[in-house]
Amino acid sequence: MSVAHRFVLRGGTIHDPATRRDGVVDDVWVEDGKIVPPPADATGFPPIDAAGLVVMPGGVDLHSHVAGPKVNAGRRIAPHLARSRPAAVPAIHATGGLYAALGYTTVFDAAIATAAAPIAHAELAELPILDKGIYLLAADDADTLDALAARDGPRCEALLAAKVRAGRGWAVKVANPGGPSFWKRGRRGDHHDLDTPLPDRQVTPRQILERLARAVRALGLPHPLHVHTANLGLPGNWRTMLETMRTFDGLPAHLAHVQFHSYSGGDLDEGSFGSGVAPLVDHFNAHENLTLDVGQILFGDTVAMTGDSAAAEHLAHATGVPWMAHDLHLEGGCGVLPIAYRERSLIHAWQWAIGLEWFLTATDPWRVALSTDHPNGAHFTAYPVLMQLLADEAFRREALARIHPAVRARSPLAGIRREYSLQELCIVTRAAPARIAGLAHKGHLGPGADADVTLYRPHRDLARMFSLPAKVFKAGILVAEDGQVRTLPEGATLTA
Amino acid sequence: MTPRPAPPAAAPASDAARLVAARRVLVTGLAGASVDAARAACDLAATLGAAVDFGAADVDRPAGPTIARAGAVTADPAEMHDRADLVILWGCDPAATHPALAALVPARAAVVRMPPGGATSIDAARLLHHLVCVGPEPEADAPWIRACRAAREAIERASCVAVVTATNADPVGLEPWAVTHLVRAIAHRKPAFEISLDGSDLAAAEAVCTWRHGASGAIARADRDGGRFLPGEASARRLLERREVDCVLAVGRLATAVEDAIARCGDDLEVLRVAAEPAALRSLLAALDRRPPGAAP
Repeated sequence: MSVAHRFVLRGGTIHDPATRRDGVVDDVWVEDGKIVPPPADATGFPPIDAAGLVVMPGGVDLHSHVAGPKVNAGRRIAPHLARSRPAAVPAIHATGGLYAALGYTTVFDAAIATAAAPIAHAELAELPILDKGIYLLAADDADTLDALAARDGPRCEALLAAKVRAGRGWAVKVANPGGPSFWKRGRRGDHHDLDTPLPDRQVTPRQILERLARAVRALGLPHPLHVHTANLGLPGNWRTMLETMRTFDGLPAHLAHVQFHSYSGGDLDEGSFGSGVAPLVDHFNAHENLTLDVGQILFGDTVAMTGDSAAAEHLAHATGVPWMAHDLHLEGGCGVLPIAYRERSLIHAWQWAIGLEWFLTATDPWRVALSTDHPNGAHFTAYPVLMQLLADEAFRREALARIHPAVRARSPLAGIRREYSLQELCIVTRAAPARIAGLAHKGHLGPGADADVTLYRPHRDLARMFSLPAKVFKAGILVAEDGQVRTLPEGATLTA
Repeated sequence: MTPRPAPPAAAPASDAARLVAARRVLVTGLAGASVDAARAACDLAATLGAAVDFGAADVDRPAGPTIARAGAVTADPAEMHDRADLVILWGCDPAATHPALAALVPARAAVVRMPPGGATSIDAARLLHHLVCVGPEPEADAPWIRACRAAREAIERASCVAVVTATNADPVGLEPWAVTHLVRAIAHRKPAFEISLDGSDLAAAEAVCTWRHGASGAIARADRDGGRFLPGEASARRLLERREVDCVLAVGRLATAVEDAIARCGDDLEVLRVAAEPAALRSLLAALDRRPPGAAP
């Protein structure tokens, strides 16, 4: 049931970091889908009682995988997980309802090849409620690589602009810089550093990263280069991540799913596997040009999907699970496989602890976006559990007691006392991802913002509180109430 | 004065009445159809609570689809042209059946035909898989075993291997499973991929069905929030053979196996044929929507 196009949310407890309201009792005025200043004459603004409710902007998922061929492959490869509720990779219609019922109103699919953009948009057109956008994979296609190798900045910018225009993209992403070239020419199962030239062009992964970031900045795209760096998932890959961070040297860049890139240990040596977060977070905290999303894993069954074919192949080889890969002509490819994260698995427990370590030691929440890299680390409907892990140390300690004992003993997590406040949770789920993505009209409740608003009933069980918003408004329309979807308006497609 | 809406065409109205009267409907067809046509067909199926299956081979096996058991390592055909230096034609002859694809076999590539005479496809795929994975040489000797050894050596020499496969009549799914495992085993060692001659004209229908219902076919009851994928039970051919549907909405061109199954059903089955055009399908959907709730057919 929708409400009038004008209304006022009366007397809620506002958490709106962008307007520096932290638990302030206030009203939120809505007209024609936008937040408006308090009017001189309140006539015609029917009140909706928000007294006692926590009011936040609608959630923004900066890095998810919800549409396109790889997501369809994920639906097909694990039919047993389609029968769980929610399905590990939900149908597109269900995806919109589940996100909205969780209080989220905007989502980005973080890896779409340009060739796949039309079919991804056809699918996203059926994603109800949410505003949505896609990041287009760059540096996998032959023309862009040629321009990068030739240090032809204007040509590179023109190609990226054409890609964004043709693919109706919001941002540009690089997945494993140079990886497809190494992969397609034979490299299997080992690291590649950032300074080895590609087998078919005189350009290195580091140069790809640096030149792409410059081109994205020159184009003035709303979101900086979205970076999934090399060697995802491999022991010892923290060095690659540190070198990746150093490469940008003041250039804006967003580091995707850093959890998967923060492992210590020797080459393919499980015994020395561990956390490489400390040096990375030190660098991150000291460099404001960098932002990140974590890609937290949570325990359970899911499906991994990536534009990084090499990473998927490595995991498929190690586990023997079904594996789908597809190489696109003159572009990259993708890899998809089911995965089960287990508390008692040494590796999985490390991954879980490493993600939390990132969240809890990165000092500036405005540069951190909460994500599970859905569905890679966990289903997006598990976000409330992750929020409780961040905000409730006792809950975190209980969870820590269940994981592999070696990780419990060696991870710095046990010594970390930090608890996120409601305001900080609001930052990492709304304000920061909106700002990082370059969405001026989202992630806040100031005048001019989209009237995407979520109302929660306060509860000391934060997972419960964030699982079941009392009301969710999208562009001023009541779309969900107490976990039930009320109406299914069309969302907008966000293009740069 | 506001003009009155035009009444629905007689054919959609009468087709809608027959669909509503049916005990259970199967929506099938859509070979070569567009995304919009597939969307409209899936909308019809969801409105009717119908089964949906387009007759693709990979859902028509009681042993379950290969993808869920082993996956699939594939590539665009042009990748074969650009990269492959060994092309294995597995149980197919694209020069005869798919000349456009055959033209993408690069001149530089060695071409090997499998399975060799005297061996089943499954036996050859399993033996070659064993040889590729550096298992012990089989003691037995036979021409087909020697052919598999030669194929293994060709794979070892190659830097990129394309395996071209075709639809087969294997009723239990072991053959595609064995070939997929072989391709996967090679791909863990060097660039390799399968190029399937199957089902490319069902691509749009399968994509839409998957994002709507979670699988590319064999959906027992269409539901926009998901669906149950029941391979070997809810494929079009099996639903027809078991007489579990009494009405088929045939959208455009049907898979041959489905047409054959329809023909075997005789007069017990109502078959409504509609063009795979979004306008025609939307017209039928509108006619369904105009029926008053509970109206008698």
